[in-house]
Order: sequence, then C-alpha cells, then structure tokens
Amino acid sequence: MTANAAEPVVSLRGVSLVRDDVAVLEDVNLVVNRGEALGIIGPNGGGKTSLLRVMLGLEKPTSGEVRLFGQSVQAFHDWRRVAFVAQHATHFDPAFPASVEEVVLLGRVPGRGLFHWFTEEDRKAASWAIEHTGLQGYEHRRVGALSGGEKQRVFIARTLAAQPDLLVLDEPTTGVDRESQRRFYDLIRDMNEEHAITVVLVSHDLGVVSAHLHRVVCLNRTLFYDGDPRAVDIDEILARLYGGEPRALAHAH
Amino acid sequence: MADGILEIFRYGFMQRALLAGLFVGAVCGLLGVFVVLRRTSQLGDSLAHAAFGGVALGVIFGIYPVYAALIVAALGGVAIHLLRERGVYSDLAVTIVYATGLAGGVFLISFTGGLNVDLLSLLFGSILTVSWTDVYLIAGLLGLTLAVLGLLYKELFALAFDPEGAKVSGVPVRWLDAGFTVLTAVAVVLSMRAVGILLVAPLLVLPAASAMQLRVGMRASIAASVGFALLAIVAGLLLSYFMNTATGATIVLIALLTFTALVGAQSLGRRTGKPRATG
Repeated sequence: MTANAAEPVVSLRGVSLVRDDVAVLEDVNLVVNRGEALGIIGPNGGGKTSLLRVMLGLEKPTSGEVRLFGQSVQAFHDWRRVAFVAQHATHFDPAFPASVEEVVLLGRVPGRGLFHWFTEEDRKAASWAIEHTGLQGYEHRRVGALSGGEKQRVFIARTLAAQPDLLVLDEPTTGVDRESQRRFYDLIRDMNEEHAITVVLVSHDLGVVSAHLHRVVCLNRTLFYDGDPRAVDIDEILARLYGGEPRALAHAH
Repeated sequence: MADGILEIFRYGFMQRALLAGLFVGAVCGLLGVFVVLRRTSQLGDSLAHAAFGGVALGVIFGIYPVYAALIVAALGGVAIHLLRERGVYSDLAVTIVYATGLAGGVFLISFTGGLNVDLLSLLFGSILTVSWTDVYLIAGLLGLTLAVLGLLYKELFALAFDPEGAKVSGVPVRWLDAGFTVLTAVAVVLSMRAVGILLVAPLLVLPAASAMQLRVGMRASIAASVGFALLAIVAGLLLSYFMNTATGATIVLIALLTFTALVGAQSLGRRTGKPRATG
C-alpha cells in the first residue's frame, strides 16, 4: 500500500444528516488517505449513497465537517481532482444521443474549465482511456446501444480520462455480469496501484468488495466496522448490520 | 416549378420570410436537442404562453409587444427555474407559468376590446409579414445562440447527460440551468413571429426528436436537428405559398411528418434487421 497517513484525501468529522425528520447519517467519522482503496458496504437504505453525496458536497450535512484534500467541501473548487460515477450511471436513457468518445471526453470538462473547447491534449487523454478500458473500435458507437458491462467501461474510461486523484463510485457493478465485474475490479486496482488514485467505492455486495479491497467500512446510519474485510469477526458485524439475519455471502477466499 | 420557386423569392416579403425562417429554424434546431434531452419539452409551450401575457401587457401600456414579451417570457423562465429549485416538480412549475401567462394575458386583453388582427397573428404566426427589424432581431438571436453553444457546449452536454456528474465536474449547474432557460425564452419569443405562440413549442422539439431517431452521437444529432428544422421551414414556406395554407401550421405539420416517418422507419428497421435477438 502506498497510503500516506499525512495526506487525508477525504475526511468526515461528526457528520450527521437529517432528511425530512429521519436520521439518515449519525455521527460518521471517516478518514481516507491518499492511495487507499476503501469499500463502503451496508444494507439498502443504510445511507451509503447519502454519505457519498455529503462527501462530494452534493448535499449539506445537518452537522459535522466534510473536507476534500484538506479543504472544506463548501469551499472546494478543484473538481478536476475528483471523478464520480453515480449509482445507475449505466442505466441512463438508452436513446441519449452520445457516442463513446463524446462521453469519455466529458471526463475532461473539469480540467478544461468554462468557455474552452477541448484540445488535442484532451482528445489524447480520451483515446488513451478508451484504449486502456478495451473500448477501441467503439469510439463512434452510441453509448445507449452498448451492453451493461460495456457501458460501465465507458464510465470508467470517462473517469480515467479525467486523471483524477480521487475516484468515487456508487454501486458500480450492479447489473453487470461476472466477467465484466472481474475486469472492472482489475481496472480499479490498476488505477489505484499504478496511477495512485484514491478510490472510494459503495456496494451492498460484501463478497465482491472484500475479495478486491483491503479496507472496508460498514454503514448503517453510522459506521460499524473499519478494517480489513477478511478479519474473522465480519460475520458478527454483518449480523448486527443486517438486523440479526446474517446472509450467506459468497466470500471469494 | 423550379422557376416558380425562384420567382417567389423576388418578392421582398418572401425574402424576409425565408431569412427569418432559416434563422428561427437554426435556433430551434440547436436549442431543441438540449430542451428535449433535459426532459423539458413543455418548456417552450409554457414560455410562449408567458410571452402572450407579455404581449397583452405591451398592448395595454403601449410598449412594442415583442419587447414586452421578451421581458415577461424571460421572467417566466426565471420563475420556472426558481420553482424547480424549491422542489416543485418540473412539469408543475411549467404549468404554473403557462397558466399565469395565458390567464393573465386573456384577462388583460379583455380591457382592450378583445383580440384583434395583430394578436391573432401572434397566436398563429405571420412569417409573411415580418419586417427587416424582425429579421435583424432574429439574426441577433441566432448569433447569441451560436455564441452560447460555442462557449458552453461541453458544459451543456455534461448537464444534459448527467446533472450530478456535471456538478461534481465543477460545472456551475444553477447558472447554466437558469441561463439556458432564459435563452430558450428569448428564442421562443422571437420564433413566435414565424409560427405563432401556439406552434413555437413543436418547432423547438420536433426537429430534435427527429434527430434522436437517427441514433447517432450528440454533435451529429445537433446537426441533424438543425437540418430537419430548416427542411420544415423551407418546405413549409413553399408549400403554404403554393397551397395558400397557414404557414406556421404547414411548417409544424412537415416537422411532424418527418418525425413520424423516422419513427416508422426505425420500428420497421427494428422488426426486420434484428434476427439474433436474444430472449
């Protein structure tokens, strides 16, 4: 691991979120350091997506402090350093008229800034990302016409093109076949290890996450567990997390 | 026939109509793709009715109706934006502005002794009576639209494709959204001269909807949308001249016909060209 404790990329301190009188997040404390790959798991409705939204400043916490790269998220403007793939990103309108190349180029929007056209450098970064995700030959295909796994690779290519320091993914492998899932995690590992990109990934599937990531936190309104998913007490944690109903989860090891 | 077609453009009013029509078509084709993709197809209709309220105000207070309409429609656009931001459903916000413009307009018109010819021409369009002032205004609008798309194309595309992703990309989503709505309001008011308040919205969305049937990328779709809009304008103008029909309605019917033909071709292609469909 290349984790450097002195460099927190994401830090949440005492974060709570109340939405329509319902406590969605309660006193969440979390630090993700540079170079880490963190999985956030938990039951549906446990606040995983809300946590990401708060983390990215898309939603304001009721109390607590959120920092990105050491800066308060409200004051943070360096969005070029952050790439985000929303839940159901691949379930967008299938009729949307956008080619693979056009979508991948969107990854270059934050780097280029307002009022500027894409440059040769942007196109190079996009074609590098397309190549890296095995999408050569698909450049001019319409994204809506691709399979689930291919669409997902397009979204990963978009984040690769951005060359971010932090990659945030919400349920990235839902509805994707096993082979594409494996490819996806290979790519994530590659981005994390070779390109030193910090990764935060949300999933409800512990089996898949624990097979690929070395640090996992469990979230059900508040954080329950923080550590290596292959630790022995995970089943008990799960039982508490899922309300005393431990599910048979496929551990890959 | 070819001579006849050239012949009619020797008339000044037909030259102005053609120029105004081409400019309006280009603007509607360009903006329409974003309007449709952002699921705001009723936006044009709503803003047009807000504009009607503006026209009524202009008539009563002696302001040039087009200017009054521009201001009121732009305010209507801002109102829609603010309502949506406060959590009012998009279609509801659009209906509220629509209702305010239409009811307010009709109410105000009652004080002037009812609808007259000028107002009717605004409702149904009268492209054959556009003045050079109108043509210049519409040309200015096309310039403005091209400038906005030129400078903010990638942001508008990002916003249409994935609003949250755009926000995390640092795109000023709020300002872009408000600005685009106001630009659409301006476009609607100036297009009104060509096809009328009641038919502006179809001209804004039908060419874009047709372009989407081609199943191509974003740039290609925008180009196709402009192409379909220009086709409808030119064909509608000529056809209405020779058949002596209402120009605005003829233009919209041609746009509708294009859309229907493309949808038909699509479903035909899907039925015949997909032998390896998986169960």
